[in-house]
Amino acid sequence: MSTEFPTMSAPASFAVPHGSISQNILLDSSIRDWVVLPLLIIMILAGLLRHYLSLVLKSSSVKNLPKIEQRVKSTLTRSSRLRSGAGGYLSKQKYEARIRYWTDDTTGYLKEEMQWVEEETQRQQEEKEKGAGDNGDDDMPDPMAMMGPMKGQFAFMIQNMVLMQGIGFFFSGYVLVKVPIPLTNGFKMMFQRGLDLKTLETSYVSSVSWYFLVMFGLRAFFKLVIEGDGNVQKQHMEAAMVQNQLGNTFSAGGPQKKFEAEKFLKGEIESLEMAKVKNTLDDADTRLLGKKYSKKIVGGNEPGFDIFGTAATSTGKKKVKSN
Amino acid sequence: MASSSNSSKQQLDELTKDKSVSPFTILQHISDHKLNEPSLVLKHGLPLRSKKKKMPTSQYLSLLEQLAIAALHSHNVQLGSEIVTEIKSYTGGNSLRYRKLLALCLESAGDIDDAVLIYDDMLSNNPSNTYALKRKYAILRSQLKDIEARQCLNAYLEENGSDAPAWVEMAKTCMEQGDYVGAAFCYEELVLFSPMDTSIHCTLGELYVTIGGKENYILARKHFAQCLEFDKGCIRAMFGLVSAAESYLDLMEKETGDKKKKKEWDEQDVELVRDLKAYGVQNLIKSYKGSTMAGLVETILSNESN
Repeated sequence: MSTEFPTMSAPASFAVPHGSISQNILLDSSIRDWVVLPLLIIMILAGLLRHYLSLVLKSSSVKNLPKIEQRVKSTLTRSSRLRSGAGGYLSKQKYEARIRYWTDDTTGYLKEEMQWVEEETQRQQEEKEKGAGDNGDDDMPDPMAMMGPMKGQFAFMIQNMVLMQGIGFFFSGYVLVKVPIPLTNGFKMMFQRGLDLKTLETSYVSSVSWYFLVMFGLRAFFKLVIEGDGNVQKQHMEAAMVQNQLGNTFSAGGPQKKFEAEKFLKGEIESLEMAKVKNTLDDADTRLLGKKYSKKIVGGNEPGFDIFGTAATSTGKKKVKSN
Repeated sequence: MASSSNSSKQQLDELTKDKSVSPFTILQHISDHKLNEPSLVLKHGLPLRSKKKKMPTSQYLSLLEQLAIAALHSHNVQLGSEIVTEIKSYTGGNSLRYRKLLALCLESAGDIDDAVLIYDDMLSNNPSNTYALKRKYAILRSQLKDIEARQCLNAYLEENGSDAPAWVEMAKTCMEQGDYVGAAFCYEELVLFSPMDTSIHCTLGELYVTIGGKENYILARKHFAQCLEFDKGCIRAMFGLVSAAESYLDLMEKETGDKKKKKEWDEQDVELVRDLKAYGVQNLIKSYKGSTMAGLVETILSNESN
């Protein structure tokens, strides 16, 4: 093999393994006119069709935010601020008072919240039994809601399958284009799907591979064409924001997990009790005055506070400065 | 936050001066940055109503929404209700966004009862509607029903405790009613929300000084010191620090007459407070140096330190 160097072709790159070098193949120009370009056009049209189909099938259901979920989430956000670093900016006594306020066994806010959740669930259940109507707030996930995203996916899958079959049927066995760069054998799977020729240079692309390359390559193109300057997305976001203020959410569809308020509240109590926040505020005044009071800070109230010895003495600081 | 709104305003000025900029860009800029420029919105937006056939319905509707709110902001109820009626012809009477605008229209026309009816109806359909809750509070505020407003805000905070602007509002309400302890609680909450904000630390310190008492003076000076650590040149915090220290020392002088209470005053702490006060006075005089106020500030501070 290696002795049969093609005499006419230009020397190929040395990056290409010896065995894979073969002679240049002349591709018929009618392959370009009747296969490559039509494939491209078909793909673009199919992509547009898919986009508009998904718009039609999309179920943009606006759903009420469940009351319990909203309130508990808000409470949890508020209480978790305390155990974030922000807690250090309250004085120690105020911080501890707040921890008590949240976690106390009998009168703690989170305990009360758990009671409220219980009462509220009961009340809602009673209301449901009385009204026997649905408020869209069922425990059972709505079977039709599950269909929403499935519909879009089905359309996508069916279209893909049909296209792939069709392309395999009509255009199989062609070599469509040549990539202008030499490639190693590893790319054979990607570029020459459906062609079983070991000796063919990897730069040649088969029809099915061309289909895949175009399919993934067109994503950015569609983004540019369909969404324009991002106005559509912006409008969607604005609408979502307005609806959120009005207490609604755009549900993405699909069965939604039930929000387990009590579990989260219990977890929050535990993490608040475990929380350890380094207090920053309490020595703010001595820090402000600097040198004279710096010795008091050095005391370090926690073990391991001064592992690196940075706060050891004021002379240490001077040394650093003089360097 | 103030600086960002300033820069977006400057950008707006540049946009309006440049005549090649399309009115859509200006309107978009105003709504993106939530600027309160009703007259500009009306000036650039009203002529666009005649081009409604050239734009998609959704865009036209959001234009109308922006225009309606701008019209109500500039007290043009007539125009506002006209636009809202036009919106209704597109969306029908059940749209939440339409009803929100309608209620606003009613409010500005002075028909508060009907507006409240709409909000109540919204809430009965969906208790998580924070917009309606906020509007109901605002109505109570505008009617000067302080106690009801406070109750309403309290109920709102119970549902939405993580809403920081609501805590600011609550603190304001508390202060107006002289409930400084309550206001301090709100501001502590705000410190947790945004611990690096100097103005929050300052206000909290001022509240503590206002409430009074030894413990509170100590807390106050800590918050002022924290504020000065973040922003060395904060004049407000310096004055606050001096006044907190001064109040502390005053109280000490009063109580040290009593032998029983004398023990409670830690000498090191008193020394620290004296130093803090000296620090504050020194820095204040330094920062006013050269200005016309310098003499005045010096007199005040020397009076205070006597």
